[in-house]
Formats: sequence, C-alpha cells, structure tokens
Amino acid sequence: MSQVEIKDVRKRYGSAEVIHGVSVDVADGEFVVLVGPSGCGKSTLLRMIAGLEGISGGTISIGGRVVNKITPKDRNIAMVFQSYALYPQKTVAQNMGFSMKIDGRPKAEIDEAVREAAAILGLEPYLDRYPRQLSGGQRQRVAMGRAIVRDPEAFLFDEPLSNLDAKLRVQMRAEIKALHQRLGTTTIYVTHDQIEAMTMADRIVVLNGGRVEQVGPPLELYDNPRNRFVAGFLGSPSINFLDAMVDRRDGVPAARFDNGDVLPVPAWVPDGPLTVGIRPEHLSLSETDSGLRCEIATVEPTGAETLVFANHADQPVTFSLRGRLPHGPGDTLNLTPDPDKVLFFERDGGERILPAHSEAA
Amino acid sequence: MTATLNTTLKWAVLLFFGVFALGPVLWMFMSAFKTTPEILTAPFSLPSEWRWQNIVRTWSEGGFSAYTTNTVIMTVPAVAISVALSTLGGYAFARFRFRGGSVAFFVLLYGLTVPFQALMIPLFYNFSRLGLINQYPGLIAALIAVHLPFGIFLMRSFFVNAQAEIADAARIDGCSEYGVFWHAMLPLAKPGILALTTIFFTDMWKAFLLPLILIQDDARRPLTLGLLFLRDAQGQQQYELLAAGVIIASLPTILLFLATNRYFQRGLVAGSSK
Repeated sequence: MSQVEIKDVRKRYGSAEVIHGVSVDVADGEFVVLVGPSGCGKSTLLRMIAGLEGISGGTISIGGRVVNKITPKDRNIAMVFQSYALYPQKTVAQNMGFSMKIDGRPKAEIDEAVREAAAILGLEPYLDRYPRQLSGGQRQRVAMGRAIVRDPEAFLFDEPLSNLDAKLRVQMRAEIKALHQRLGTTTIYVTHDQIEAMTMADRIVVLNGGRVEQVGPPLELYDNPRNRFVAGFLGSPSINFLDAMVDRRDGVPAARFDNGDVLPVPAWVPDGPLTVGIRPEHLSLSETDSGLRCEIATVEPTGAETLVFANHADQPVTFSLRGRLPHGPGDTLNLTPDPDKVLFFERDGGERILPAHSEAA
Repeated sequence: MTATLNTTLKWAVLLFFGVFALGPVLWMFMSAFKTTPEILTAPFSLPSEWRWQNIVRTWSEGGFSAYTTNTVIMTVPAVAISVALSTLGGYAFARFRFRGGSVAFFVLLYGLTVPFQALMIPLFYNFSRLGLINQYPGLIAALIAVHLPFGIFLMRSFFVNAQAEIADAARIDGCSEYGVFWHAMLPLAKPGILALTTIFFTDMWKAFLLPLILIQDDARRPLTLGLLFLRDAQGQQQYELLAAGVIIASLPTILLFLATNRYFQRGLVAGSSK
C-alpha cells in the first residue's frame, strides 16, 4: 500500500499563494507525471510531497499516513534531482549506499543492496568511480540507483532528464519507464516536457498557475482536453487555434473565418464567437476548393513526415502529413480537418464547448 | 613583427614586476648570509662567504626558537577556531532564514570596514581591565575577533553558491540538519576552507600590531615582535641576524602557500561565477 494522496494542498510564501488547493490521488504502483509550464508549481508540489517544502494547507498522505509534519527522511520516499545532486566526494557505491549507512545498516547489507541496484542500472563497472568521472547519463543513473537502494514507497523525479542531450533523454526516458515496470514502485515525475509526460505517464496531471487543469491518461487528455490550455500544452507540434464566428445563416451551422472560409460544425455548437482547435495531424490536403485556404510560410521535411507552417486568415496553422509535399513557401493549400476531431473552445476563458450530454474527462 | 614586439613587451612588463616583487626577497636572502659591514658596503652583491651560522645564531642566541614556539601557540588555535567559526557562521548566513539575519550580517560586514587602528586603544584598555594582557587566550580571542568578519563573508559566498539540491538529497537520505552540513555541504566547501586557512594562517603568523599591544613579556613574544626587538649584547641591531630572522619567520607561510596555492586561487574567485 503505497498510494500518495494529495488533498486540497496549498502553498503560501507570505501573502502570495502559489499552489491553490491541489488534489491528486496516485494509486499504488502508478506512474503519474506532473506537467506544466515554468512556474506552474509542479516542482514546489513535488518538494512538498518530499517534505523539502512546508505545507501551508491541506494534507499529503503516503501509504495511508499523513506526512504533513514528518521530515523527508521519515517519509520513506526517494528523490531524483535535475542536477543529479550526487555527493562529489563519495564514490558511486558510497553515493548509492549513503542512506543505508546513515540508517546504521551493516556493511554487508549495504554492499548487497548497492550491488543489486548497480546490476539493474548497469553501473557495476563504475562503482569505485567518482561522479566527476562519469557522463551525464551515468550520473543520472547513479542518482536513480541511490533512489532504488532506499527501497522507498514512492519515487519522486524532479525534471531528471533536463540536463541531458536530446538523444540521451530519449534513451533515459525508456530506461526510467522500464525501471518502473520492473520495480512497480509508485512514481511521481515532474517535467515541463510534454513528450516525456505523454510517453511515460499512466496518468498526467496538467498544472497551470498553481492549479490542476486536468488529470487523466495521456491519450485521454490529448483527445479530450478540458480547455484551451490543456489542448495547447499537450501535443507537438501544438494544436492550431483559429478564431471563428458560428452562425446558421443558410440553415446549417457553420464556422466562418475572417478570410471568408466556411467550416461546417455539428449542430450542438452554439452561435457566436469561438475558437476552433485542430491538431496538425487532423488536417489533410483537400481535393476540392473547399476547406481552409492556407498560404505556406515554411516547410520542414523530416523524412518520415513533413511539417508545414502556414497562415490562415493571419493566424498561424501547422499541418503535418506523412510523406513529401510537392509545394513550397508562397503556395496556397486547401486543408480539410477531420470533422470528428475538431475541438471547440469558448473565445473568453478557453473552456471546451461540448455537446450537452457529454463531458471531457 | 608586431608579435615579436608584443612578446618583448610582455616579458619586459613581467620582468619589471618580477624584480619589483622578488628583489627585496632576494636582497633579504643574501643579506642573511653576510656580515653587517658587508651589508652596508656592498648591499647588492652576493655574500663573500655563505655564513649559515647566522641562521643558527638567530635561532638559538636570538631566541627565535622560543619566538617560533610562541607564534605557533598563538597562530594554530586562532586559525583553527576562526576557520571553524567562519565556516559555521557562513553556512548559517547562507542557508538559514532567521529573524535579524540580514541585520546581523550587515553588522558583521561593518566589522570589515572598521580600521584596526581605531580599535587599538579601546582593545588595550578593555583587555588590561579583564587581565588579558600578556595572556595567550586574550591574544587568540582578539585575533579571532578581527578575522571573523572576513572569514564569515568568504565562507558565506561559498555556501551560497553550493548546489542546494545536494543538501536536499542528504535530507532525503536521512541526514539531520547537522548531518546535511557535515556530510553534504562541508565537503563542497573544502576549497574555501583551505583558502581561508591559508589566508588566516599567513595573516595571523605575521600579526604585529595586536601582539605589540597585548604582549609585553619578552618570553611570550611571537616572531614579529622578536624581529622588532632583536639586538646583540651591546644593544645594536645586526642586519644579518634580522634578515635571517625574517627568513625563519616567513618560511612556514611560504611553504603553506605553496602547498595550498591551487585552492587559494579558487577561494579568491569564489562567488565570481557559478
């Protein structure tokens, strides 16, 4: 039983509240990613779970025990930091075994635990080295080894891959995921990188300005964002937002754009101004003259797919297609969105507009 | 052509400052092996004969063995205590928020700006009233007091720049706040501690004014005062013995500086970059 329950947690610095009543339940063995832009409070929340920051309101429980007043060392958690935070004067083995040494465990037991963790992470050849003699990826592995040796109820990761180069980041992402599948330890992972969130999480918690915007499995959030913020935050390249006006001029509900383009919309979409959200992969080249007329600004061929950055009625539109595009900058394309995948958001406030009977997760 | 000129110029400047800095040291070194008449008649020549006995005479007859012991008795505890207090104080100012913390730090920095000459007379009166004149504990306490502001200031800058996440990692690993300091932060500050030790040792070893005010008993004088009062049986100053005394007095600081030079430089630039 090592679930983590966060109930109405608040954090104030003086009179400024930075976390405004966040509630998240992390089930035993679950991998939850806290994601959001810089300053959204995700790292502060993680540090509050770890006990490195005080809690101004609400409760945090780990394994059914309220830990608000409990020191970090007694919370039975392990944390991996962005900067690795290894002790520079200790060897890899000493770094990994330090918590057990402080706990007064016998040397044989410490050695055994360190060896096991090193075997899991492929660190055996480096046990006698110092952190300065290791590469960034190896250092981060040592930091993970240090966490494993503690055999904690929960792993906390604070942007652990941010200091690594792009290729290593992808590799370590897979390693952390594999480690979680192997150990099954409850994991809370903080990142600002939505790709990490999408690829690693069982569930994602999207935070913004110290509030939870939405919680759910990655694809659920991707397909059914509750608001414009979540829709815009998840997905790379980002979703396209196009301002339009809905009316039923010809008896059929349609979204009209400034340049005169018309997009048929479902009947439940109300009249008036709104924002249409279309993901880049949900646009396709139109065979006819209908659709959204876009002028190509730049084309980025990546081999497997082509990214097209264009303008539609002075609003940027990104469009991706498998394969190659026989067009270049300055050309005009007609793009048709997949009608089932188009999202609608209130122009003010950015809340998602949904049919009366359904609700986003 | 320009490159040659540049190189020549560079060497000329280096040579000038090299002579400027090392000239007096060489002059002192050579004088230590001459006789007083030789120093007065041919001040810049090599000694006609290397008189090693000058060093031995200064050490034994000049009382420099006792002065050296006195200097060690004064310097070693004063350095040890001031480095320890500076480290603890610097850590507290860098890592803890406490009521009155910034005021206390300001007052401490103010201590850096007070010239020692302004403290001399009140210090003498207070110490004599407390019966601390001619006492090593009094001298040591005074040395520590005048050195602490700089020490705390330097160590604070080390701890401010030390990676905070290592302290957090130690907390999670099970360290108490004392353990965080001892296991995680103190090892990070090693270059600072070594630099501070070198600075304090050099400064206290050659302390002159404080012992001059607080120590009047010849049996307790340190090397610096020994040099000042060095006379032969007729009460005459003998320059070769003085020069030999300077060599004896400066040797430990030179050796320490050579040993810790690497850390010393790192310590001086602490806080200039992350």
